[in-house]
Amino acid sequence: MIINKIKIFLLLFLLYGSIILPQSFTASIDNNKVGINDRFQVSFTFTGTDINGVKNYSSPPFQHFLVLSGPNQSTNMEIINSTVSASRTFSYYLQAKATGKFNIESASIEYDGKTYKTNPISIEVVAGSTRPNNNGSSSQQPVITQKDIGDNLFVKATADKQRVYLGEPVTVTYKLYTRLNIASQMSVNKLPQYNGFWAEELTTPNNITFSTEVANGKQYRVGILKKVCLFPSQTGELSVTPFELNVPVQIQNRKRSGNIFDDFFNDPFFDMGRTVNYDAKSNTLKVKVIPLPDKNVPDSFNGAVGSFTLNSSIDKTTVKANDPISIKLNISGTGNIKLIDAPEIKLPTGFDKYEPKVSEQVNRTGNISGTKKIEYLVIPRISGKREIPPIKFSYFDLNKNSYVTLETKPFDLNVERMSESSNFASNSKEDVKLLGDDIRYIKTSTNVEKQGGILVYKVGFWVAAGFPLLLLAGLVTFKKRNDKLLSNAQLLKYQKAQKIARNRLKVAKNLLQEKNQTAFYSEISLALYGYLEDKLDIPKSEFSLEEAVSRLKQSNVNDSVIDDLKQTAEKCEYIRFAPQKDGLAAMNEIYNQSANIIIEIEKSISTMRKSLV
Amino acid sequence: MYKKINLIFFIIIFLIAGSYKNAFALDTKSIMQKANDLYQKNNFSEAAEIYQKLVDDGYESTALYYNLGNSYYRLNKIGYAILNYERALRLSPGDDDIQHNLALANTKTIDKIDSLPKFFIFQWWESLLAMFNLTGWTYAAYIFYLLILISFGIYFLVKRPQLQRYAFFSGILSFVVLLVTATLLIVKLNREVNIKNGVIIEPTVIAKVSPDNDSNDAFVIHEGLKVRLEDNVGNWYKIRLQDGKIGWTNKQDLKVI
Repeated sequence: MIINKIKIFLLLFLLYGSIILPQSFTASIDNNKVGINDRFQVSFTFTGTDINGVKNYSSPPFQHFLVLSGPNQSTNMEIINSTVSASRTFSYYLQAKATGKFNIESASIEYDGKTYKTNPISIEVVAGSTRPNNNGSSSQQPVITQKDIGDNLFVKATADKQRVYLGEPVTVTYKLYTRLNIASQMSVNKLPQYNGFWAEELTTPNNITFSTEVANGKQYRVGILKKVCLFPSQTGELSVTPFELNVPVQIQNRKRSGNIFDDFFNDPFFDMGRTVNYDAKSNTLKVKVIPLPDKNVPDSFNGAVGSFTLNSSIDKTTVKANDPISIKLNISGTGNIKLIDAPEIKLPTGFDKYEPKVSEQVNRTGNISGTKKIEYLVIPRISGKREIPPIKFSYFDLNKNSYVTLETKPFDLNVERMSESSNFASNSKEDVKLLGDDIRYIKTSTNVEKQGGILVYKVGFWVAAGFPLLLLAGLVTFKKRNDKLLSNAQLLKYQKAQKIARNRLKVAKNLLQEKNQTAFYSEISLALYGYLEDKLDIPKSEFSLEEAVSRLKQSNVNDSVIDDLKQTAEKCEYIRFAPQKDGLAAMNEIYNQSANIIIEIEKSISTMRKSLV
Repeated sequence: MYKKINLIFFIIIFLIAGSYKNAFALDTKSIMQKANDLYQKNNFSEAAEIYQKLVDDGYESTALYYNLGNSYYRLNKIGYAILNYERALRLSPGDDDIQHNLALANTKTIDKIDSLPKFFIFQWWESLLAMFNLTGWTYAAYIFYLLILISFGIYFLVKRPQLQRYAFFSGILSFVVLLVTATLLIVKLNREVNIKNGVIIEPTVIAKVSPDNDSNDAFVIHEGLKVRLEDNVGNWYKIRLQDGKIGWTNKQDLKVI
């Protein structure tokens, strides 16, 4: 019996052990029909033996719902007879955005390489609340909806201007309106974001002081939470995100009848109230930022908006080259002081400048004002009287609605030469190998010349160049002609024969007058023979009277001339060797005859030659 | 007959050379000697004055410019020193003393403007050009011109084939050399006439963007910098630095080399 029982037990035990619990992933909702103001819970539960293997949970999209909280994870584990069953739940608190029928899509999860999905759940959202709040007997505590609190406690953001220029400050004030008691310190859920603005928080008292104010026909206690001065840095429609606060509110226990808020002035001390955390959220602010007028914009305008004054100072006006000077500039006033860039200082050449040092003091009470101190460090490099031109600073004056340009006085500087010792010139060189070297001694030549122009441009040069060329040309031409003549010696001799003969006859005539018979006759014969030699081209060695006569005959010379020639020649020979006493007449005759002969021969031979040519 | 021709050539050359001698040679010689003596006695300012007077009176020579440059160097007037060294170098482009002193003076200038490194063939060309000054190259070209004429003369006038052959080849050679020297002469002449350089003599000069005192500053240069002058308008020179920067300066800020 007992054994049987044990057997059954064992069997059951084994059975249990062998049963593999199926993994499941299910979705559940606490109520399928909810009111639009109701919160409800949606859970996705995974059940299995080993929940540690669960991964990659992906939540469904809740397009139609506000996720108030979640996903919240909870794990549950049971061990029954050493069988482990565990579950993991992902839950959300949701609130519907609108009425109607909606589906909550499936969530998915991965386990052991498989993906599990839940079934979609449908939900119906109706107006109002489905929560029973009238059967007070069931619940001691009254149900207070968010809306109820929201009517009595809210945060409101207000801007002093809705339409501003770029850079014009907007003051945004966050006020808490309440008709409820605030239980303890509020905490900030989310600070507003000022995209497109430079925000400067204005100082507000640490403790919120409340005053009374009527809004929407109800009286509220109002306290300023926060005051911010915003300087837009872009144009267009800019928005400030809501300021979200968590306010613990004290709710009085409800009396059996009557409105919960009737006894507002009841002393809370004696009231056994309870605290509800209310998430207050301010409205979204919209500010339209328009660009600054683009007419008459000064060159020096750099985005400053407000109203400012400018003053400047310089530490010294007489300075050595390479010594630094500091120029200080103070810009003070109200406006976007922090956004002001240091005005450009336009230095003449010969100055080096360094990045200006900028410091600022900002006063945050009431509005943003302050002073910006800019210090320029300037180093003159060139000596002499120099002027630093005025520094210009422009801003947009919101009151005048126009640009205003301020400028400093110009600074007159007297830059002295730097001291001799600081010779930076030679230090700044890289390859100064010659530095220790000295110049070479002067040239001792004492020759100087008048500064001449360019030789090529002078007439003398071209004359000197042209003259040898002409000379050469002349010489060459002369030589050419000479060569032509030389190449025919006969022709030359032929041409010269008459000339030589004439010369000889001239000599002979002189001798005649001197009555020198011998010399006269020899000269006459030389004249005759020489002439014949040359004219008839007979070499001297071969010359004889007979030869000459025969050649003359060949040349068709008149026989009478030939006879005269013979006679004269013989007479000459004869008288040369036998001089006569009264020879003057004979000499005259001979002379005339010889001359005649030569003329006659010349005539006939030239005519012959001409006819030949 | 050839002796006669040669004689004529010599006379011509002599005449050309002689025309450059000035009539007051003796006078200037003693002035130069006086200045040289003053320099020797370290009286640089007076020496510079005398040298400068000679230059102003229209005299020139390598020694004059070089000595004046040296005097200014000693007086620490680097701009004027460089100006005169440059002038001396124009007359004697290859002079080692001038080059040395000029390089030394240039190390004392403030501006360091990098010029692009030159290709070696251009460097050869430059050093070839620097062998003579303009007059030197003119003479060189003239001498080779005469050599060609003489070779021609011999070739045509002498009837000995051996001599004619020599004359022919020497004529061809002279012609080739003449081409080279004439090219160098033309290049040199072009530089002399068309390219003007100046040296900054004021300690600091602000070059303007346009020839106008109110125009923007282009750059700052200092005493002793050699610049190329490209144009002039009224009282302004357009200058180009070695690195290619262009600006305008007042005429009194620099002196033309």
